[in-house]
Amino acid sequence: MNAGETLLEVEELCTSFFTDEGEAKAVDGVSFTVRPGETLALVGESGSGKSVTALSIMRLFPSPPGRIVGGRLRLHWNGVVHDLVAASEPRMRRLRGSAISMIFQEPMTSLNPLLTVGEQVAEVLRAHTDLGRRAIARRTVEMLDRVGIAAPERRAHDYPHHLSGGMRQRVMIAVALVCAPALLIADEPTTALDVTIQGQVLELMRGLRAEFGMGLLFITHNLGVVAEIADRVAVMYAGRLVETADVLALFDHPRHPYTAALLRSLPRLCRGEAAPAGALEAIPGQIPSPFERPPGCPFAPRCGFARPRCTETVPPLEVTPGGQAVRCIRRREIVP
Amino acid sequence: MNAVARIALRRGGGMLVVMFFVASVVFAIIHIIPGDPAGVMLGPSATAADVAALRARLGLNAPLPMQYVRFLGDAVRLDLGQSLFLNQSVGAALLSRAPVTLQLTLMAAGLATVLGVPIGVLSALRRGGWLDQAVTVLAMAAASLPSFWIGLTLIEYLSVKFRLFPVAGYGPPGAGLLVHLHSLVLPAIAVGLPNMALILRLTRTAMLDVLNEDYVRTARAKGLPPATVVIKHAFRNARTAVLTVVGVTVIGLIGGAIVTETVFGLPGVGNLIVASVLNRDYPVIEGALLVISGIYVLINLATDLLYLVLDPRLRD
Amino acid sequence: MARRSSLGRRLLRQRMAVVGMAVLALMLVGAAFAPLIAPYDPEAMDIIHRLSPPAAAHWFGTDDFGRDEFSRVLFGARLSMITGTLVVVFATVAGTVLGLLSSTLRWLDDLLMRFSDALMAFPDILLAIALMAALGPSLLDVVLALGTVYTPRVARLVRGAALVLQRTQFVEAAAALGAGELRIVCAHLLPNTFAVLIVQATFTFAAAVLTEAALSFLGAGIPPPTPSWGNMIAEGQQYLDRADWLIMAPGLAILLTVLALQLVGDGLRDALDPRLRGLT
Repeated sequence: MNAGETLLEVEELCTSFFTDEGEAKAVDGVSFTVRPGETLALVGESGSGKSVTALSIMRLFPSPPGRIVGGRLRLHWNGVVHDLVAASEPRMRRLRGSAISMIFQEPMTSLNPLLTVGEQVAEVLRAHTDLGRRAIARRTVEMLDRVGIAAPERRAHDYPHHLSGGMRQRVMIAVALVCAPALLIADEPTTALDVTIQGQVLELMRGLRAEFGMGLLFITHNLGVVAEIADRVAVMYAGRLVETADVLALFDHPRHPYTAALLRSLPRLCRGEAAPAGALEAIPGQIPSPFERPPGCPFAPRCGFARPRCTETVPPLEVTPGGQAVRCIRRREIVP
Repeated sequence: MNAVARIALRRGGGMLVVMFFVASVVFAIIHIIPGDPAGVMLGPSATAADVAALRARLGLNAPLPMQYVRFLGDAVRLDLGQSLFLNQSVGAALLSRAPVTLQLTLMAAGLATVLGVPIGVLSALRRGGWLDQAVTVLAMAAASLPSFWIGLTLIEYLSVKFRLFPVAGYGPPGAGLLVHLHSLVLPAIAVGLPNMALILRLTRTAMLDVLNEDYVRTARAKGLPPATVVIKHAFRNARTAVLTVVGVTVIGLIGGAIVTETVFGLPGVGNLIVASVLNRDYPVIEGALLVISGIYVLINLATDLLYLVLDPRLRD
Repeated sequence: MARRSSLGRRLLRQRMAVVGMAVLALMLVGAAFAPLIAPYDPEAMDIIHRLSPPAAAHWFGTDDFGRDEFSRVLFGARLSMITGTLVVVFATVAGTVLGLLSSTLRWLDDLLMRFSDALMAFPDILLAIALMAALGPSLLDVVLALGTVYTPRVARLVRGAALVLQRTQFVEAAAALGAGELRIVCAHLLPNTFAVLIVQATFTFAAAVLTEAALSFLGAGIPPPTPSWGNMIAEGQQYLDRADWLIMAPGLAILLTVLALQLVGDGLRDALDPRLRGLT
């Protein structure tokens, strides 16, 4: 795992949906990189555009209304650089499931109810490898075992409705990893699960990440999960990336006012000098609609540090050599 | 399979209950009309003696409840009585004409499904495109046309003007299979077209619903070929809805066949029913009602069982 | 790049619905004022000019008795509109009453639903023919027969909607406040089922027009010389090869009417409640 290499490069990605109500700028300037073997958490409130970012990388968003209108997406895989914006649909199909995989939030509805669990894993192998029937069956059972499903040979013939939510999510993970992709995108995989199961699934993902060595793009709005699983964090607001940092650095010294406000809004259970327990601090105001992004910095209307020049132009993303980035023109002046 | 057998038994029982009510409805239609049924059957020119004889023969002098019980008893034993105008039992009359109607209905259903389902799927895939819009309008128009009119128009153009098909010429099976089937093509189109329109629209709706589901997105995320996504993942989940539609429209098909047989002069059950209505041959009408509704209930039972095969969630 | 969205399609649907409504309005006006608009008496014969093709004197030509086809189509529209309206009223009133009764009285529910299952086990046309065989050949009998055919669907719809509404909180609250059963029904259930009933009414109307045409075509409906589109097509059958306007004119009239009704029904369904899409 060479720390200098990159696996995925996202550069000023812009994805819009063109509807009768106008252009919805779901993603409006997102840049980050994921290195091999690294876990990057993509964080933001609902409406921040994080899911659309993930779908853009996979080119899975509904395409008559949606379109990538700007930016670059590059995947480094098998010695080749794949341009995911310009790639043909057949090429994308070859990459999906084998180079990049994705798991989704709702395990209850993400599996086909009419196919056995084993079949849904096997068809990925069938689509991307030349393995024969027996080899595929063997790999399927192995994979189900690796994701922690007991009695995998028997379970492979079960239908999804025979399995609990946690087990279905494990099957989803098996489906995603059976071809050993270089990058796994996980869109809120634990949000819909019970808290106790959440921990188990996270544990499973950490283990598999170590075992497979893939890059992991983990999307969540839950900062607690971020602390458990991420190496680095990218924070999004209203379709834009506002800050990127190592996870510890982010929690200790957030550089963007929005990140700081997010951290402050976490409920604290203990009293202490640095963070006395008290009233919950919500961020006043509302996230702007994707149809009406404000000019300049998207967070300015709600930012305690805003100045008039913040609303004039969009702040550029300043990247330090260490890979940290902040999109705030006042970043040198303030400690949020 | 034990579950399937259990459900089959339960549904079968339900079917018998429905048939009981069907038989009651049939009895009600014929026997609860005002006036003397025998007098109505024979018409105003009948003598009192004729009417009295018919009344005795049909057992109309017994009290109504007893007639009801006897009717039910006959129905259960599949004794449908004697036709008043044809020289045969109702059962024999229906049986001799059933094959033609059956073939016509099957051909029409086949046409409607084989064309309607794929076009419906394609329309859903290219939603909003020119194909979709054109198909929607044409389907609505086709569903607005009476099948007998379609039949006449087809005869006018394809039989009379272009001589591609026999004009109201029915080729009996004896004249050769090809001739026989050839003479059923136009009637099958006439009966099948409005139904095809319905199946098309409902397949499209079902597919649109399914294409929005999460598991279809998962299938795409796996990089599966588009045909696999559409057929193995999307359509597979829409097929029970499509089956429901086909099952429901079968009854419309039978109705269409009944009317269209008269247009093409086919010796089927439909022609028999129409003639019996005009002749007031009540036993035949009763028999036909029982048999046809029986067939429909059987088809319903078959589709219910087919659901069990198609959807594993229903077996638990 | 073309824009497509559900709102856009809904607008398009509305446009089609408006077209449908315009056609229907035209049809209703024509039907209502038929005696005034029709250039000829629909039953007036003119043997000299029989079987003449469409021309200035007779817009839709004449039939085998020299009767003006246009006037006959117009009066046929009158008949279809009247029949359709009466059948819809019959089916809606009877169906609503039965559906509401069914939803409130358990013992009646089972019985009525089995009967409605039985009635729906016959093809519409077959049930209508059988009823007509027992009744006589008049407009009232046709309405009675067709009304009976289409009542079960309305009853099921109302019963379903009523059962759903019964479980909602405001009906329970009203009952808790002591409102009588009938008052609850009238004040709460009826207004909410209204949308569903209107949509169903347009489709019932369309079905009634088609079934009446089939009945009259077979000779089991409205008898000649009263012009009904169905019996006009039956009479024109034998002149298929030389006077096809005799079946084209009434056929296209049926097409226009039923298509317009379907467009209006779809438009109403979209406009009133997108959730209804699965119900009818």
